[in-house]
Amino acid sequence: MQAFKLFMKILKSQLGIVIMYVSIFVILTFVIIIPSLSNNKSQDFVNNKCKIAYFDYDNSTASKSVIDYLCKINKEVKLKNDSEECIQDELFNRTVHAVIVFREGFGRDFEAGCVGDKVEINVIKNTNVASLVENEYSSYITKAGIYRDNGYGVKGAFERASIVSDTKIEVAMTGKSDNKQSPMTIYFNYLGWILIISIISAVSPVLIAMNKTQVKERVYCSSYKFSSYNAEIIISLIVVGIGICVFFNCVALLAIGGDMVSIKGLLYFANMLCFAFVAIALTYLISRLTESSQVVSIYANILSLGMSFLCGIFVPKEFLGDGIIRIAHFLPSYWYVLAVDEIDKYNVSHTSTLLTYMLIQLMFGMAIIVVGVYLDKIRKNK
Amino acid sequence: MNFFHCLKYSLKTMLKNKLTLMWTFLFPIALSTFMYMAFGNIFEKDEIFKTIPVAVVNVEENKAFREVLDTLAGEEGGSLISIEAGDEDSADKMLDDGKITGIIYVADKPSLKVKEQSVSATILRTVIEEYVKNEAVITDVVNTNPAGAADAVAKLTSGEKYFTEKSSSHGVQNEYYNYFYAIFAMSCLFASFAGSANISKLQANESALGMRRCLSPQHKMVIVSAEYISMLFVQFAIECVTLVYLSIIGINFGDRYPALILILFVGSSIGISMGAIIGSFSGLSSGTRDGLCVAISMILSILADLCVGGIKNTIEQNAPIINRINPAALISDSFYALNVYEDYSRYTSNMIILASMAAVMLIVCVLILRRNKYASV
Repeated sequence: MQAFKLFMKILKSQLGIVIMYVSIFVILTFVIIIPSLSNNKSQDFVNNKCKIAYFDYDNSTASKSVIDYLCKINKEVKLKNDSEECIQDELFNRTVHAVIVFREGFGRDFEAGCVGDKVEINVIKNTNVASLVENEYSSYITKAGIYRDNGYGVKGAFERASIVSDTKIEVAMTGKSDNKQSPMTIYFNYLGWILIISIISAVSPVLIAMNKTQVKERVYCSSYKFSSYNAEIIISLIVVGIGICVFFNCVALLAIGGDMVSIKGLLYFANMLCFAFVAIALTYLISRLTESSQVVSIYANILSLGMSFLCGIFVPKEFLGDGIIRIAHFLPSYWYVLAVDEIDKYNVSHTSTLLTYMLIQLMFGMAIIVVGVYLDKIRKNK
Repeated sequence: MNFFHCLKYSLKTMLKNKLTLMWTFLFPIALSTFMYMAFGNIFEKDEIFKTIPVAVVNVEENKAFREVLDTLAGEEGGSLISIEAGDEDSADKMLDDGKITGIIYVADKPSLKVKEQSVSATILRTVIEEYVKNEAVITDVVNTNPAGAADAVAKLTSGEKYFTEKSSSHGVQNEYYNYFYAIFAMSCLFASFAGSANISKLQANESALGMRRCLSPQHKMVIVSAEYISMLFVQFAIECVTLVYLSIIGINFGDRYPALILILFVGSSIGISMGAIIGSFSGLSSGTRDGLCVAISMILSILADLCVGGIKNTIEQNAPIINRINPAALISDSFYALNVYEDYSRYTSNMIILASMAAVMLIVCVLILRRNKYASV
C-alpha cells in the first residue's frame, strides 16, 4: 500500500488547504445560500400575492381605501423612499412587483368623478404581475366609482366595493399546493455543487503533487504494478470522499438537527456518497489532464457551476427548457438532483426509482475513472 | 527601454503557457454559455405576459359568462386566454400534461381547476372572480338606481385605465442578467491566479527564477509594472472576447460599449492587484496562495449573485458598505447601472472605487516586495 500511504502523507501536509476549502463552502452554504433561499423570491407568489409598495401623498379616504384593499389582497413591502433609483432597483430585484404613488388631489378628483393622472403605478412593463396589480386597482376603483355615481357616497362606495371585491370562486388544485423546500432539501440540493467543487479543489493538489513528472517516472520504472498504483490512488480518493461526506453530514446534523435522524436523512447520505464517488472520479480524471493548479480551479468551476446551472441545482428544473433537460440526462448532477427530489417526497414505493438514480450516478463515476486510467496508460506509454 | 524588455518577456512567458491561457479564455465563455442555456429564456417564458391556454367545460347553461370568455379569447391585439377544444376528460389530460393552465367550468357559479399555483392561474382566477363581482355590482345598482344600470355595465366593460403606468428604465429588466454580470466579476477576479503566480515568481525564496530576478539591478517598480501590464493585457483581451461572445449569443448589455469595456479593464486590474497582494506574501505555499485566490474570488462572486439571486440586494438593504467594498458587487453593479440608468453617476462612482482599490493594492504590493533581504535562500 505504498501509493496509498504516500497519498495520505501528502494529504496530511495539505490538510490545511483541504480544511480551508471545505470550511469555506460549508460557511457559504449555511451563512449565505440557505438563509437566502429560505426567503426565495420564487416562493413569494405561493399565496397568490404580489408584492406591492405605496406612497400616499393624498391621505384621503379614497387613497386609504384603495391602499387598504390592495394591501389586503397583496403583500405589502416597505421601500426606503420613492426616488426613481430606489424604485428601479427594487423592481429589478423583484423585491417589489408594483409601486403605487397617490399624488395630492386623488381623493378630490375621485369625488368629482375624474381619476387618472393622480395615480402612478411603477411596474416592469408587460409582465404578468404588472397586469395583475393594474387590473386589481382598475377593477376596484371602477366599482367604487359606479357605487359613488349611484348614491352610495364616497365612503359608502368604497365600503360596498370592498365587500363585493371580497367575492371568491371555488378553485380546485390537482398538483402540489406548496413548492417550498425544507432546509434539508435545499442543503442536499446545493451539495451537488459544493461536493464537486470542494472535492476537486481540496484533493487535486495532492494528486498534482503525485503526478509530477519526476515522481511519475520513478513510479513507472519501479517494480510497482501500474494497476496497483492506480487502484490504491482510487481507494485513497474514496476514503477522502467518504471522510468529506461524513463531515458534510455532521454539519447537516448540527445545523438541521432532528430531521437528519430519519430514513430521509439516511437516504440523503447514501445519495451524497454516490455523488461523492462521481466527484472523486472527476478529480482523478482532472489530475490526469493537467498539472496546473490554475487550470484545475478552472475545471472545478466550469464542471461544478456548469452542471449546477444545467441540471436544476441553481435553477429549478421546471424553468429549464426541454432541450436543456435532454442534455442534462448526460450529466451526473441531473441524476443526483432527481434523487434529492425523490427523497424529498419519499415513500417506500419509490425505492426502486431512487436506487436507479443512485446506480446511474455510480455508473457515471465508473465511466469517468475508466477514462482517467486510459489517459494515464497513454501517458505512461509515451 | 528596460520596462519594455521586461514587458516583452513577461508577455512571452504568459503566451507560451498555452494550456493555462486556453482555459482562462474558455472559462468565462463556457460558464456564460451554460448560464445562457439555463436562464436565457426564463424571463420571456415565466414573467412576460402571454395568452393563457385554458379549456372550458359546460356544466350548466350560463350564456353571459360563456360570452365573456369568448370575448376574452377573441380580443384583438393579444387575447387574455385561448380556449382549447375538448371534453372534460381530454381537458383533465391536457391540464395534467401542462398543455393548459386551467379548466374553467361554466355554471351558475363558475369555478376553476388548475394544476398548481402560478401567476397565470391567479390571472385566470381573477378573470372569473371579476365576472362574479361585476354581476354583484350590477345587481346592487339595479336595486338602488335602475336608471344607472346601463351606465354601470358600460363602465365595467370599458376597460378604461384609471392610472398612469410608469417604468423608470428603458434598459433590460431581466433579473437573471445579474448572473451574467457576476460571471464577468468572477472571471475578472480569477485573474488573481495569474497575479499571485507571477508576483510570487519575483521573490528569491520562491524559485530559482525569483533569485535571478532579485539579483538584477532593475527597479522593483519597473518589474512589477511590466508584469502587471502584461497580465492586464491578456486578461482584458479575454474579457473583451467574452463580452463580444455574449453579445452575439443574445445577451443585451446595452450599446454603451466604451463604458462596458472600461468596466472590464478596471475589473481585470482589480483581479490582478488582488492576486499580486496574495503573491507578495512570502512564506505561503503555492497551494495556499491558490486556495486564497479561489476562496476570496468565490466568496466575493457569490455575494454578487453568482449562484443565488438576491444575495447582493439583501446585503444592500442590510449592510450596504459590503457592496461598496466588494469588487465583484461593484463590477456587477456597474453593468447594471449602465443597463438601466441613463446617467453615469452610479457607474462613475463604482469605477472610481474599483480603480482606487486596484491602485492601493498595487502600491501595497510594491511596498511589500521592495528592498526585500534574504539571510539565506
